[in-house]
Amino acid sequence: MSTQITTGLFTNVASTPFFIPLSQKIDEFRLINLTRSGVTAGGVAGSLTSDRLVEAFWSKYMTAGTALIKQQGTVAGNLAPLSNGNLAQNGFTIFNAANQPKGPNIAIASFVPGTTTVFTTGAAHGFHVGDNVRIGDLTSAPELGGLVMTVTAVGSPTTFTTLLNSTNSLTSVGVVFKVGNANMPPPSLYYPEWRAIASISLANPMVVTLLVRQNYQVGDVVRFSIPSVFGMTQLNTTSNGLPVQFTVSAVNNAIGVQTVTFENVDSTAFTAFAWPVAANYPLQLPVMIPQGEGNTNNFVITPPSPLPYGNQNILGFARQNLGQNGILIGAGDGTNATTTGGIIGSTVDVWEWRAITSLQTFP
Amino acid sequence: MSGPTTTSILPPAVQQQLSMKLLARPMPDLIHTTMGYPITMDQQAGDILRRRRYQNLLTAPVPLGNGIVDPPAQQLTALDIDARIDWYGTYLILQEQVMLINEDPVLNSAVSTLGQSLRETEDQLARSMMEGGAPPINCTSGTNGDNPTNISPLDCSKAVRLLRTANAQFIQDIIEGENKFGTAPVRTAFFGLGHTNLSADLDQMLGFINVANYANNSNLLQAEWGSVRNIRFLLSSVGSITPNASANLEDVYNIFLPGQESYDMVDLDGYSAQFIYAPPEIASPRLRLYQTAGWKMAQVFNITNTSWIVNLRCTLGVAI
Repeated sequence: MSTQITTGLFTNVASTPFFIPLSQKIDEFRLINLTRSGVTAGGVAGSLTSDRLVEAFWSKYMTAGTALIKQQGTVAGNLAPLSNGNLAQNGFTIFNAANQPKGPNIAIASFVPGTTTVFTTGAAHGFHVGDNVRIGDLTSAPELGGLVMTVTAVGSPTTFTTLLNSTNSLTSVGVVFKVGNANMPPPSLYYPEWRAIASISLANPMVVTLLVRQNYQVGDVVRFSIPSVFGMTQLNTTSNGLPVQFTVSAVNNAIGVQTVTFENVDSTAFTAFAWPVAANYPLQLPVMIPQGEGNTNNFVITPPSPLPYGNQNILGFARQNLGQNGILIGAGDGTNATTTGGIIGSTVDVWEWRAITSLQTFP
Repeated sequence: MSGPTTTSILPPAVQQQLSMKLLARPMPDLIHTTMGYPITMDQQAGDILRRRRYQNLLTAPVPLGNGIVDPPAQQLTALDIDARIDWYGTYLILQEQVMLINEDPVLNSAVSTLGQSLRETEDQLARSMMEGGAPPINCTSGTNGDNPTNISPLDCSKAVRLLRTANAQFIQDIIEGENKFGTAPVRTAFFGLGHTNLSADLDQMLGFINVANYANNSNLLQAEWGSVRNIRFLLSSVGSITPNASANLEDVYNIFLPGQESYDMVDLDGYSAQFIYAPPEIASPRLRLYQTAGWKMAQVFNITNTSWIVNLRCTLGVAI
């Protein structure tokens, strides 16, 4: 039994929260922005910058999501003065993968029906690209209620976009809240998960777009369950008791793309896939269900591997627990601004961190 | 001094006695591991267990005829199902003075609570795996206006139809009818693993048979509540709930219906459950100030056939 100090260095992605997995109990956490302090480290040139947060501190006595910060004033030569204060949002949050609280309910004022959907909220939503959100209480579009989808763009503090194809729906008021983040461990811990389908192309090869990003890999095998009101029931397992399975031939796991390609499937003659109208409520979800790992040597376009073994190294659908505990560092504009402020700003910076586990707490 | 000697004059030297009969702790029924197919992975063989299922061949119902030309051969194909084990554990640090001044044997309770923690962790892992991996079916035949709706007998039949069409095998045999008042036969069944909050909804369902009304209740599980159609329900306070997940943002209750051999419970040889105790001379060799006790295990749960398990999702019809 002893005090534990863990340290490290990371480079953030611009305007994106950063997660540091730590199994230890975190009593204190300290963070220094080396880049904006003018220090060259981690392959990024130092750039002493005015009006940026350069130090942040959190302890277990502080409120989640906040930080005690030091922000630089105007740079004069190679020095900048520091101001001390509290960052009220987008600070530090202790993360427990097995106990992820939902975000606050935010009113949806309307959405624009389309092949992708732009939602407008009644108040600032605080979402980031990659956040997984659930919508519901959609009085004029109940068929979309309860769906989880990844935020693919944030147009303004009160608008956000997802890949939901809402062409057949009516705009509606409703409620949205955050349930997780595509870059974070999932609340259900285990990978892979079934995924709701946003759209399916009529094409050869067939391309499936998913509402929530999942990291697929070539060679993964899936099956489909498409309720008849969505069309394209040709993908379903028939009534002969044998599963109809499909092998993934290409993937694009980038948030905002979230596609899986099946080169052995020509869907051009299939019934078109479309989200149904409200009259079909209540309804089943169209889902893609992970099955296992298959053989990549049976693709009709991709040449076989040099070796005769097409599935030896495909472990992409190995069931595994992705749960991790740690600390989430919030993102905003890199300042202590009232609503838009956050530790990580819009620049790519190198940070040094230190996490402390106390031997014993007094009193 | 004169007068009676009362307890005001002579109070007991010690006013309390700790009953050595400790109070019961809440212990949920652990229902999610009961249907898992146990399988052990060898040590020093990597951390991923691969299992393989060969695909069925096509039938050959057409006569060969009287020629000498061979019909085309079929190819054997297979699907590989992988699972990666992970390690889990937790522990207690018990200061020596705690052991010396507490009246009850603290270490005994520590061991008991650790054992419960291990089994509850196992159950939670199995539940989490099924939440993410078992294919969802929404109840749509209930009457509460939500999506999914509250559970109905028709939803049960649809789920069983799906499983049986995929050739999933029932878990439980039929309970034959007997000549006893108020009892009824029970069909061959899958177990439905759900939350105790569903008990009132089940009681309300047409055709529900409580376990008390089974013709023979000699082989019941402790958590069993009753049966509807071809489902026998095991309910637990740690059953699965997805909060605020319905169309009306009510809690969604996940009822898992596993068929035979639908999911694995994989552990590592010699590492399925370890109790680790470090006495003071090891944990704190300088002054022996404390001892530690904990558990550790290596395990993974994995659905081996997604056609043989479903997650029947519903909301409540009877409000809490």
